Amino acid sequence: MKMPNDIRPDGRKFDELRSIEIEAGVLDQADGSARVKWGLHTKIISVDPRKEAKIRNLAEEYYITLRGKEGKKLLVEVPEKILPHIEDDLGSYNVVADGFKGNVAVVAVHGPREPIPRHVGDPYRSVVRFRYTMAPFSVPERKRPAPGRREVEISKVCKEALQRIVFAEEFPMTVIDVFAEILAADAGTRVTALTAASVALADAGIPMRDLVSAVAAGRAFGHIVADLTKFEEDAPDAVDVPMAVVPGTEEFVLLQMDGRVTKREMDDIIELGLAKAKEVAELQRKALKEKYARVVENE
Amino acid sequence: MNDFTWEFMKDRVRKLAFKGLRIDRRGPLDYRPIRIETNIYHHADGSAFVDLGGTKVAAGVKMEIGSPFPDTPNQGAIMTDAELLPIANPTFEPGPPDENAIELARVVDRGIRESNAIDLESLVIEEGKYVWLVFTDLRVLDDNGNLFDAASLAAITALATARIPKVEYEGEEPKIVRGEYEGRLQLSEIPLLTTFVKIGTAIFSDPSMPEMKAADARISVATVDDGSITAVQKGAEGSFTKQELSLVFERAIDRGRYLRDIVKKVI
Amino acid sequence: MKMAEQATEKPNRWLVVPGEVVTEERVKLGPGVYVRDGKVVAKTVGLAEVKNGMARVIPLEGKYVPKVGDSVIGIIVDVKIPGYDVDINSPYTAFLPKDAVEGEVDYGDVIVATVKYVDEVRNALLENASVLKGGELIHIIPSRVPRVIGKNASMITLLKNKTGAAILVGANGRIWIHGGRVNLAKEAIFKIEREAHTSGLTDRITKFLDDNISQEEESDEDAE
Repeated sequence: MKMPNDIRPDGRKFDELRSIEIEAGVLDQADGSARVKWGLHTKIISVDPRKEAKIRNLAEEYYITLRGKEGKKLLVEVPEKILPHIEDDLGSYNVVADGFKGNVAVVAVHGPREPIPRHVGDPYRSVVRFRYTMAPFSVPERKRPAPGRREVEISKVCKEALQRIVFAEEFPMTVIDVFAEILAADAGTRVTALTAASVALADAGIPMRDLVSAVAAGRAFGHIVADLTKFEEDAPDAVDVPMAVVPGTEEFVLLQMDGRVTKREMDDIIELGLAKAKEVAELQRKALKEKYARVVENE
Repeated sequence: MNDFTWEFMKDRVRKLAFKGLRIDRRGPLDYRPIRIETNIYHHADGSAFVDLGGTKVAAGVKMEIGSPFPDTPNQGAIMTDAELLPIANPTFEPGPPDENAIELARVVDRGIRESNAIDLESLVIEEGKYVWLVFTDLRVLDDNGNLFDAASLAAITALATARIPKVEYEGEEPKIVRGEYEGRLQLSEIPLLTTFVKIGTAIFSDPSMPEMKAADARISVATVDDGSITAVQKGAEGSFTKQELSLVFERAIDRGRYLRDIVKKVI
Repeated sequence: MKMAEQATEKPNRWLVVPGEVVTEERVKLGPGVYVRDGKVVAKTVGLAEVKNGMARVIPLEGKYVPKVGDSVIGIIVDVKIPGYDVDINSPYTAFLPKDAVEGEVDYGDVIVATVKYVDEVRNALLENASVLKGGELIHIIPSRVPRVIGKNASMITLLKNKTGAAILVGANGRIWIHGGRVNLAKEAIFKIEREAHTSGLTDRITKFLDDNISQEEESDEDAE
């Protein structure tokens, strides 16, 4: 079957975000919290094992993953959106289960609170601290629990994105601690963490100029795309640009780039990222408001 | 609630305990509501999320290929690690696991290991050279009391739903084909920890946070279906009498069965 | 920015999140808002209101920051020579001079006191303290305390009457409950906290109390 030209390996359009589910106020002990699930909804299907070679071929072009054998059948995980496009190639199949392939982040905010150690405190403003950690089982090969250099760098850029968004001068001599834990990863963990962190800060009642909305855009397989998956990050021409934006003012508070692009491409990527960040902002707002709607329903 | 409010509540908890009553009006053996989700972290070979009365723990199993320990060439290995993330409690500090995290991991581990729930000999790929190392990582996300039982529930559920990675040989060396699985991890038992606290002379199951703070002593007992005990850990600075211990062991078997029924529904 | 003789009054309060525009009209700025590009924008999650020429956002979350005149419930956490360090469940600490409280005060005691003074790093000086004996202490989000008190103390009076409990509400979100139906009072207060952003709350709480009043309950007085 011939693929229409404007579909990506997971079935999305070039400017389409993955599914983003945000829930605010998910932890009891934290002053503010949020959980974000950012990824692809998939179907686990079982097919005739004789199709294995054909499916492995398909897996070169599309973001489908073989899951191994169960009984006499071969299990394949297929992003929902691409399934209709490859049905002919799959032949007959049964849907065995629903799956989710993406990022899961849980963020807690503790603060404003007394600075410990004391010397960390600033007499003029609250100090925002960010600690990004990944569970050993969040990545394909088990990661040792201790934070590595990548985690330290991500923590730094996230902290810098949030420090000025908070009205820190209202809480001198305090710290605002943000802890982000990644439980599952599939390209875009820092973007997921920061999006969740912004919601957690608001959930904690900390005064902010605005939310901070993060998203990644870039290039893969010859096209400028929004929200790359791992599959796209591994493309030979891949460029990944995570960014975070203040939706009300369009200011960029986080921006990193990995790859090689022309200035024109970079402009396009930034433009796309900005538009998508605003979509993320809408979802963040909804999540915060939904928390209160939940309350009224439950009574 | 901050630390000082919990401290103040200790008094009230103790006064009620004197009459056999609990601050949240549960019976002495009642567990809080339990919610378990499985197969939720995509890269984990087995995973579970447990919410026990607000205490939340995420568990993930990863199986990697390694060399066996020199004195057990025909056995694979299971390892359990726990992190009390600063996320879970404002008093938890970032850094390597402290004594509480290490104790939690080791007690959960012992309950599973000593029950022989996993046949270590079945984890051999090539005797003496390549075996499966089964890592269970516990990430504590919210501490509302009784981390031991929540962690134990999460760990065993993740293990019971774990699948074995597919292995392919690259020359002489077996390598994992990431994302693909063949077969499930077999568990012959479902060992589970049940924790009790002693407040005055009252003994309560599934302590909530104020009860943990007010407790004189604490004890966690791992049991399996046939009533055997596979791990015991006494905690906090108080003590138990011989009679109290006997009572606790009896209750642990019963409470273990209660929890086991819940786990069996999701695996 | 629109100029208007009188700002358009919006009929109800509505839920906003940080960064949302409250009004584009020229109004006085109350708490919880700031001006960006000529628009009045919310700073926190809360209920926005434009009334009497003023725009404000009533926060639904957030920690307690001491204010002069507030009545707070604190716990003695350190005993020093000149006085006591008091925890008021805030990022900021409070101090109670020895002569501002009657009688012996010890570590762990609960007091109700008034905030006399707040310094430039927000630490509070307390006065007029009394020790509270027995009872139970709970904590709610400080910004929801006004709902527990109610207009003209209507809600707190309702709670006290129906439960027979003595209830002291601190502006810092700490609430002390003593005697009567402590558990019922607790549950009603947590319900008010959860539904603080809704209307018709007084009626619902009255109904809640009436429905549950028949339940047998141990008074904490028996426990002493």
